[in-house]
Amino acid sequence: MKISNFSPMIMSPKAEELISLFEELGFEKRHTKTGLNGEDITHVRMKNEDGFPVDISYVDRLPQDVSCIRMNVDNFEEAYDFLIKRGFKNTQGDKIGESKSGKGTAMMSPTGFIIVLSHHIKNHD
Amino acid sequence: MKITSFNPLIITRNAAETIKLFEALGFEVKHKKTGINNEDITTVSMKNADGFRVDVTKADVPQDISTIRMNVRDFDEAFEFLTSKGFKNAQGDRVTDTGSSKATMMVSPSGFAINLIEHIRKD
Repeated sequence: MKISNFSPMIMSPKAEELISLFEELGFEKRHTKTGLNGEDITHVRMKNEDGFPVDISYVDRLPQDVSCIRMNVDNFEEAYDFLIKRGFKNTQGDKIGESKSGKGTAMMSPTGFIIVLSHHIKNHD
Repeated sequence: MKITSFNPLIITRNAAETIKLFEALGFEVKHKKTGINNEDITTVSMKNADGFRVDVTKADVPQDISTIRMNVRDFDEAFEFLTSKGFKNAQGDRVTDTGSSKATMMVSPSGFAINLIEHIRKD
């Protein structure tokens, strides 16, 4: 299984404040995606000059920030099955968010940490 | 402010199984530090072949805490910056000093945490 990205991610109802904070820490917005998961979820990818990435997702329905790990893989099904075998649960039940650019869902470990598993489809139109 | 490391860190009672999980994902243990804070706290730094990093800290917490490990060149500068943004030191007034590093966990007003660390470089 090839991991193509592995970075800190924060899901937050106050994403704008977090984005401002990380901008002051030297991070710049690199990519913004809206309407994720068929909901009003906006995802912002940030990076600093040394290449350290952080992802911020604006999720209005959350009562407070949820820190997690964003893991992009080249084979979503393989990674999903791998995590399920190790006791992870899809936080959305059977639902997996899909769009032209990829698919993803938040997987919670048996011990309580979250990996946001995603597969990014390159060169989508 | 110079950031020298920035990666996910998981604080957990179940460190052994968490480390095994990341090993199965292709990460290797690169560094281990024990007896942090003069308590039974151990941190393991892991890295995979592509350079992605994750840290796992074994501590007696009721459930896992996901944080960001942020190494900086100047701990005091970073600490003051985060405090000015409303972050609180999870240890109150205490800063962990191991001799080779200074560290503490800073919690934002909105609830996420940064483990702030400076490795003390010997000139």
